[in-house]
Amino acid sequence: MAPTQLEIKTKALQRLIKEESYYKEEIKEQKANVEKLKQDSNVDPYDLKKQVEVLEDTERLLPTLYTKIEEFKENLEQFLQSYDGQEDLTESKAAVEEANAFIQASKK
Amino acid sequence: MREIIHISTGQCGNQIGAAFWETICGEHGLDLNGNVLPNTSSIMTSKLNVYFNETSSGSKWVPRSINVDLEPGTIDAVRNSKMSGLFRPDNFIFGQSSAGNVWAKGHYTEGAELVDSVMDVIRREAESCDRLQGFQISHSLGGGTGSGMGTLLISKIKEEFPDRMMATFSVIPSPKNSDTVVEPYNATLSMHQLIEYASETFCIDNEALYNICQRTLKLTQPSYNDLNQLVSSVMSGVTTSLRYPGQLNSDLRKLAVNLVPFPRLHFFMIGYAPLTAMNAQSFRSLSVPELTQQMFDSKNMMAAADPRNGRYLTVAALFRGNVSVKEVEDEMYKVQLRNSDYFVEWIPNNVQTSVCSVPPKNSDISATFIGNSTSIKELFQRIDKQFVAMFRKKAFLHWYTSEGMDEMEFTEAESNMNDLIQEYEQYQEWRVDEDEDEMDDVEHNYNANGNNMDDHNNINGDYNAATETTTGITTAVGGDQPVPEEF
Repeated sequence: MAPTQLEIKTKALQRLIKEESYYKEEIKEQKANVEKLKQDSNVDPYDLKKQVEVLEDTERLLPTLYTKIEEFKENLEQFLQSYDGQEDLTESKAAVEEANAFIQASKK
Repeated sequence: MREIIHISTGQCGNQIGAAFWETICGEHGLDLNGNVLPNTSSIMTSKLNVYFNETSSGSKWVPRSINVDLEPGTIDAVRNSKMSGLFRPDNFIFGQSSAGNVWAKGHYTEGAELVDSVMDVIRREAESCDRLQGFQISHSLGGGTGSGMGTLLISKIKEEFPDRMMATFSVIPSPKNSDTVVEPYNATLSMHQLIEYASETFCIDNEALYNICQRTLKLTQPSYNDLNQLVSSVMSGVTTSLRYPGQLNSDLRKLAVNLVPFPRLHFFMIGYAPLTAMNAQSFRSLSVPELTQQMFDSKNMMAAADPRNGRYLTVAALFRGNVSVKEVEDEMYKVQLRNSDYFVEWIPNNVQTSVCSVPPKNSDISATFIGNSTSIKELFQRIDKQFVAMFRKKAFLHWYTSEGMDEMEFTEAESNMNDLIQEYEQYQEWRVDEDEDEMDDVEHNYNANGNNMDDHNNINGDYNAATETTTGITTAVGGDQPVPEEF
């Protein structure tokens, strides 16, 4: 069964929010990895440099993800405003609120 | 985990898709039934679930692959091959008709009838993913199914998963080894879709593949298998960063952030070194300097366009095997210093170099190149020239209008592709010292390390970039040999 517009928009926003937490986790783990390499005097400094770059790769991505979350959140909000169907809106509204919290937090 | 769903469409797409799966099974220590072989190291299996589903018993890995065609032939061949036990049987979806090399049949009539059952399977796969990162599709742009139905699927997927990444491995037709006269129509109509819906397109140019087979590999009459071997090497190369831990560009979204400075300009030129014939081992291991030189050589590019006719917006280079990171960085730095003109100076640090310790199957070390080069426009100019010649006379247009298509769609597609060509030209000519205000006008969402874009002289271990100039051999001329149909 093909999903409705409401389902598509809600799931898209939910996935993006979930993705953000994934990248946050990735940054945490990679930071720990870099620290571990720094402590190890046998590590090739170039290997360490690479792993720092890998960390920066994720950090560089996050702002673009927040832009996406904002974009999809606004799209869903607009859709909800004019929505007059029968579907349950609880999940969609929760996703919008969660996104708002994320966006607020990211601007701090 | 960050799952990718792979979709093979059409004859060509299914053939290169099968070659891709065979290759990556080998690279991750899986046999062709999806069982992990003994003595497989953890680095090979740690990211298996990017491309494979683990069976509930945990003993077997199944490709997250959906194989689609409008006729049964190619899929039957895959199902009866040595890989018969690898794929999930209900992920094979095929019709009993054919698109007959007509894009309209793949996109609007025959393909449209099959598309819903494909979407059901895609949905089922997506729902079983924990953190789906996106999709990749292998298809050709010249035929009917991969081009027409492939792009229909892409647009349907983007409609339903608007937030997910869409990568395509797109085989570009060449007049030098053409299967059908209407290839330029099919390719142009497909490009119109790819420009809008794909996040990143790896261009696999038939003309370049034949040139490589004939000139470098000395195969006078390349077979499907020879070509598939080349394609699977480069597909394995460009997906390496997605499949092994600790890499730059470790997912499709990062790849786009790093390589796509403007959303429409996402057509990558890809290259591979060393190039070896099927089942042939290189007689000696290449050195890092040799690999670096070859990787930037237009003879090693899977696109019949010369990078020296354009400039690189961005580049990602990946070395595999037991190589020293320092040596790789030094070599890459030298190449860039010598050729700084070939890189736009207004994107600082636009070359990324990475190293993966796991080598490919057929050599000790290898290098893969992904370049966002403005010279890729030569491929589209080539298609456009043929398109215009036929369209002016409205030749073969009735094959399309009889499926309900309007001439307007052809005009729109061609004009979109022309716009793309012009955008590449505009960015190629762009220099930092030009009107600064003009730079602000362009939607520029890319700034590699948050540096000032004027800061193009900072060379302190991070690089501005350039390409290796090489011997003056061009790849723009094709072979005269008769060739197998629709690759």
